[in-house]
Amino acid sequence: MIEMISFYGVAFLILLAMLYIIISRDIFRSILSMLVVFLLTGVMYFIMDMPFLGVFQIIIYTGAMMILFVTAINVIGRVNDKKDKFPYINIIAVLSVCGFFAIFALALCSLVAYSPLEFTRQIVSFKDVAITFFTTYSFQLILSSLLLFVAVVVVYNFLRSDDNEI
Amino acid sequence: MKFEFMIFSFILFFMSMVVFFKTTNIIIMLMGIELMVNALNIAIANLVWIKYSFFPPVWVMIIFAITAAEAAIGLALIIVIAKRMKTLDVKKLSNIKEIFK
Amino acid sequence: MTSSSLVRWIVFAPLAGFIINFLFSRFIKKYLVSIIASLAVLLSFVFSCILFFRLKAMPSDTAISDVVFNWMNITNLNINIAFVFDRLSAIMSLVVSGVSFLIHIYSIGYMDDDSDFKRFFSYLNLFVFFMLVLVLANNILLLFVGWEGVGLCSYLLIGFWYENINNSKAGKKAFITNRVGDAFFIAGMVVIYYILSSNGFYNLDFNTINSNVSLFYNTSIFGVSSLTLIAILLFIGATGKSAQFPLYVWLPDAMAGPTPVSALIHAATMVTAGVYLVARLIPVYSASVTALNFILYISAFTAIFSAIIAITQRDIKKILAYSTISQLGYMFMGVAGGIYIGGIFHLVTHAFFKALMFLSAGAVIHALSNEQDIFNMGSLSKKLKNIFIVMGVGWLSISGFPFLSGYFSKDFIIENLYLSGHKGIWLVAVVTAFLTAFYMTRMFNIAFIKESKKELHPHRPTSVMTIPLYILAILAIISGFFINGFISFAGVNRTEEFLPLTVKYTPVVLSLLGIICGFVLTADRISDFLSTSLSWLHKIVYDKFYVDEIYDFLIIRPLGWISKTTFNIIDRVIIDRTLVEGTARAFYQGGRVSAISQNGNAQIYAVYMLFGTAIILLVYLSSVPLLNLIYWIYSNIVFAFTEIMKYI
Repeated sequence: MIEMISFYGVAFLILLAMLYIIISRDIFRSILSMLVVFLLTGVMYFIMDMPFLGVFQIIIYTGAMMILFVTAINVIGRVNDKKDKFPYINIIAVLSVCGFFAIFALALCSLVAYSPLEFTRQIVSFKDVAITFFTTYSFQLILSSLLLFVAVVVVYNFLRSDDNEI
Repeated sequence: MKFEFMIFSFILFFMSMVVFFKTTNIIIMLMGIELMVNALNIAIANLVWIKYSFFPPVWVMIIFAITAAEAAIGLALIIVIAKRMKTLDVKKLSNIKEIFK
Repeated sequence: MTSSSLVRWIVFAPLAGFIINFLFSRFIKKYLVSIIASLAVLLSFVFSCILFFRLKAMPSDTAISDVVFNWMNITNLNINIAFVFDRLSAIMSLVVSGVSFLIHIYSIGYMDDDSDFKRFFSYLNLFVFFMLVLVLANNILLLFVGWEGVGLCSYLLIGFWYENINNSKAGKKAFITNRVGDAFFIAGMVVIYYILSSNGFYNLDFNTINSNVSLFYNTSIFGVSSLTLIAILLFIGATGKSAQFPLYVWLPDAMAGPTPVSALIHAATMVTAGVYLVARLIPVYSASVTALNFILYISAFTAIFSAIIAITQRDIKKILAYSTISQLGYMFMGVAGGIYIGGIFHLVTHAFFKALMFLSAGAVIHALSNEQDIFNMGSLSKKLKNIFIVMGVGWLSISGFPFLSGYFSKDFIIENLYLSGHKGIWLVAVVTAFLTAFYMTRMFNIAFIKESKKELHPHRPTSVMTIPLYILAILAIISGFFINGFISFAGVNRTEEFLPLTVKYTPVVLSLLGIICGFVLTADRISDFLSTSLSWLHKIVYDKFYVDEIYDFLIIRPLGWISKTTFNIIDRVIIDRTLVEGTARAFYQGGRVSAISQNGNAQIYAVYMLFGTAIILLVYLSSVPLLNLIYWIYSNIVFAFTEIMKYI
């Protein structure tokens, strides 16, 4: 029960933050509310009985990625753009969004309803995850770390100022 | 696989799509992508309650790594382009010839 | 029926001459070409003579035949390349090869200063080859091969000086008019083959056709007796070749070719192919009275029609051309009305004196440096005495002066017309004889006897040109006396019948009257009086009764319009614009339209991805029971709702 109340509360807050992203006119306010979304998602992982995943979320997303975004905006500096107004509502767009929503929702529900699976509650410990990582998914682990390394190198080369050539 | 989490992740995904489609600022578009991935992470993490499966958290962590790398490279690109074109408006940035001169 | 392989050499000698001259003309000296060509034709003539004497010694209804090889032997048709030398083809091949030889000799002198000397002789040999194939063929298909071949050669030879576009046009006109006749010929052949093959005869030999006339007689096609149908169709084909009424328009224009060509093709040999065809199939024709009447009416009309036109012409070759058309009418009248051998005899004598007249007209034209208008000639009796004499012989022959060859042949035809009961045709023939004498005298008088208006300096022709003229003149004089031998050689029995004296002497009287009128009416004062008082009539007749203009208006212009519009519509609009350019443009426009979807806008690309996913999911959803699904969702929502409600 506590999980339910906390889930609904956290969910409500995340939805409010998303709405603020959509509505706000300033970039900085949008990015700051994205930070709030990430934080609250981390909290939600805690509710879902996956503590380490929540920790990961907070470290990587709210830590590194937000810093990256803010740094990028500060490096770019002032730009001569019009302020982003509240987006106008196009009736065709709304209808198509509803259509897509319905299709995807129905597909998802059919997946849930007609899958012959049993559901339990279990807590997955960190040790199990680590063991899986280093045994079954060792290849993916290596690949992801290589990817990160490559990303570091690429970013370094991009941001060296050799006459701003791409 | 709790039904509420699925619906919730679904709503988050669609709101991120609205952010992505409605903005003309390229940094906000990247932000929309990150939010979409975030919603998907919740959905995948939801699968952990299926019996005998230990793997959804692992998949989520792999996705963390990939997304972080992608955000970094994307932001680096945006910095270089925006410094050259001096604008962040995605409509002006859609012609590759102008970017590369 | 004996066979001899000498017959094929009559035909192959000119072919060999053509091949040698045509392929190797670059390596052969100029006069050697003409000697080879003339020798080839001389060989033909010699072989014909040898076989003629052999045939004369044989009984009356045998023939010498020669099968060269079997052309086709498919299921229902068996045709050989085979030549038959019977009495009719003996006469024809002698005339063709003999007159051709004389004309070859003449051409050596006439075409001497022409730059296309060698090509001329190769074409002449080709023509003689095809004509001999036509004359000696033993089946109707091989005759048709020769028929088309002489049409081709006449096109080549009429348009010989092709740099002048009018000559090419005349050649084209000749060939196309012949072609129209050929279409009817082919139709006739098809009918013959159809009837013969449905009765079990699978070849087209003349023997087969002529001995199975009863088969044609008994069947009928489209309501017409097939005998009449065949006869009329083949005769219409013959009108194309022999220049009778609707299809004669090519012959006057064909005078654009060199004069030896006019003499050979359009006086002596090619135009007689139609007469030969009717004579060859005389059992078919004499069984159908309708066909015979048809031939008589058309040829009589043609004879008098062209005689009227010839009265007013100025060009000496055109006068002779219209005279040829008129005399061909006589030949057809002779073949169709009474004893057919009369028409063939007239063919032989006409070959002699018409070739003579054409060649001497050519000598005059050559002597006066290509002057063809008779009103610009004159007083040639003093300056070109030998030409004057031979032309005089020809003039008297064709006018029917007593005891020359024309008198015998024309009288024979006219008497037989009266005796077989066609009195109206007889009258037309007699009037035409009068007109023939009249216009020939007019031409002779104005061109030769009267004083010329300006000073002329003709240069005399060489002996190469005059010796053939003398030979032809002698033949024109003496050949009339051989008529009885001719008729008995052909195996026809002639019965003497009674003829009232007035009828018997009418043709002679009218010929002499025509000669006198010709002299009288062309004297100066009378001719001036006539030309001023009857100038409207003169104009109509001079313009050939506007037949050419009618053809142009009714046939040529609509055809030209049809072909031009069809070309514009189908070729230009449909194929070039719509299909070719249209396909290219369609692809281009398709690409332009598809390129609208690529505008560099990343958000639109994301929408496309969404569309794709939605379609895939729809495909998945269609395999899922939807109503149950919706009920399940609804029940879950209700369940969750109630659980929430419990906690509150």
